[in-house]
Amino acid sequence: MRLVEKLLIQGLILAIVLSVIQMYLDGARNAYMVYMPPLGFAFLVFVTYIVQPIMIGILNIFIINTLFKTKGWQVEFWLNGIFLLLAFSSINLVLQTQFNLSFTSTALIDIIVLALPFGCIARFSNGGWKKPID
Amino acid sequence: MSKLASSIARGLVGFTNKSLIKNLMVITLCILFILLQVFYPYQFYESTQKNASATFQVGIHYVYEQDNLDQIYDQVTQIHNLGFKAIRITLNCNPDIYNDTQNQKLDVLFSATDNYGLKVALVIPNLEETAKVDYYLNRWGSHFAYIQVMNEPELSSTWSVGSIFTDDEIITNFNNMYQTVESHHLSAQLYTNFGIGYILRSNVPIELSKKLDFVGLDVFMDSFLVLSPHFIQNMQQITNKPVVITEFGMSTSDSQAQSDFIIKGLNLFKSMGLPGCWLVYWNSTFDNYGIRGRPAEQLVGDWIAKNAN
Repeated sequence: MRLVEKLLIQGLILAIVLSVIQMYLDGARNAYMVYMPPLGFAFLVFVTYIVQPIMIGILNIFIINTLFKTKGWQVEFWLNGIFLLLAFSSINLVLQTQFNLSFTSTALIDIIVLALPFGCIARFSNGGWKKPID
Repeated sequence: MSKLASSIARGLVGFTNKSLIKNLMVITLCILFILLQVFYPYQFYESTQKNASATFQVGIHYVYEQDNLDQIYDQVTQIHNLGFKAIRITLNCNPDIYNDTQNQKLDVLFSATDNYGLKVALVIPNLEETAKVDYYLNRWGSHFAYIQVMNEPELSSTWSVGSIFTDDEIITNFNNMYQTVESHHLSAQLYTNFGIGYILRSNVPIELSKKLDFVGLDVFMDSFLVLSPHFIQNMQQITNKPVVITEFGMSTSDSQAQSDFIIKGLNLFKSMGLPGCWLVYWNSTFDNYGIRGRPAEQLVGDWIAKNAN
């Protein structure tokens, strides 16, 4: 597989997963908010900025290690995940603000148009090692 | 040349591939993304002329109680001449004496607003007696285009000093007042306004908005103005109702700062496509919110002439 194909696959998987999680959080926002306030709000923040980044960070390094035949990681899961989440949400924020788009439209742009650049960002943001790790 | 570029690229990849460097770069970019997310919406909306042709209603809260009876008609005229389309007032009357000065002031105020076609919004204070509200709405209810049921309920105090309403108290008080207002079968749109603190008690706007035509958001202080696009969009998402800025102003003796703050906010809210923004206050004896007789009065008038329709 060529490098560009690997990056495209990585970007596609991450953009789809981030979009699905964002849609779930948008849909469940009111349910979180009305649950024993302000605990529900705290849970929403916890899931959005703690749980989600860890999941994304694990997924990213798993993809890197699978596609590039490496082991281990250079950047910790949470830091890598929050970086990808912030990159993804910043791109969406700019698109939504600038062009008055809905999240569905920006998610489609992310998946169809920006998958490759997002794959490059994701590949840059973490990496494994070629050497065996003890 | 291509050899040079290739060796530079390889050198860069090698350099950034070090774990320490990669971590530092990721952390730095995270900080930049956070700053972008905080400031970008405000900068974008405040500096662009989006929704330039959209309808935007600028209103103002008039504390007519602090003016003399013979001043009120002229003050409403002045407010109208500046281009304001709505006047917001607080419920205040004397139900026991029909021709009390307070009641006469209201008669004069409504004769002026009716004459100029100004829309009037009524604020019903949180712990107002229903008998007084009934009297008020029976006598003057037909003059109102908007009625505010409760004021910033998520922050408001109960009878006990230092405590705030519980969720049950808010909902019970809201329902009582809502039923009182609804029993008059007025054509006024109902709303409740919330402060920025609603974010910690979001269940309150979610619950109350089910019975409202729109929700209000009150914006004070520079920091909350910068963050207001986030709060407004969140409020729109959780309530699924239009959001109007129902209180916006700055209490300061620095007239320049006050004018700048108000004009920046008007640009922002119009550009965001909101239906309107109501300023606080036209006049205020006990603080520096009032814009009457200060540079902000004329600047806001000029802004309305140029931007609001």
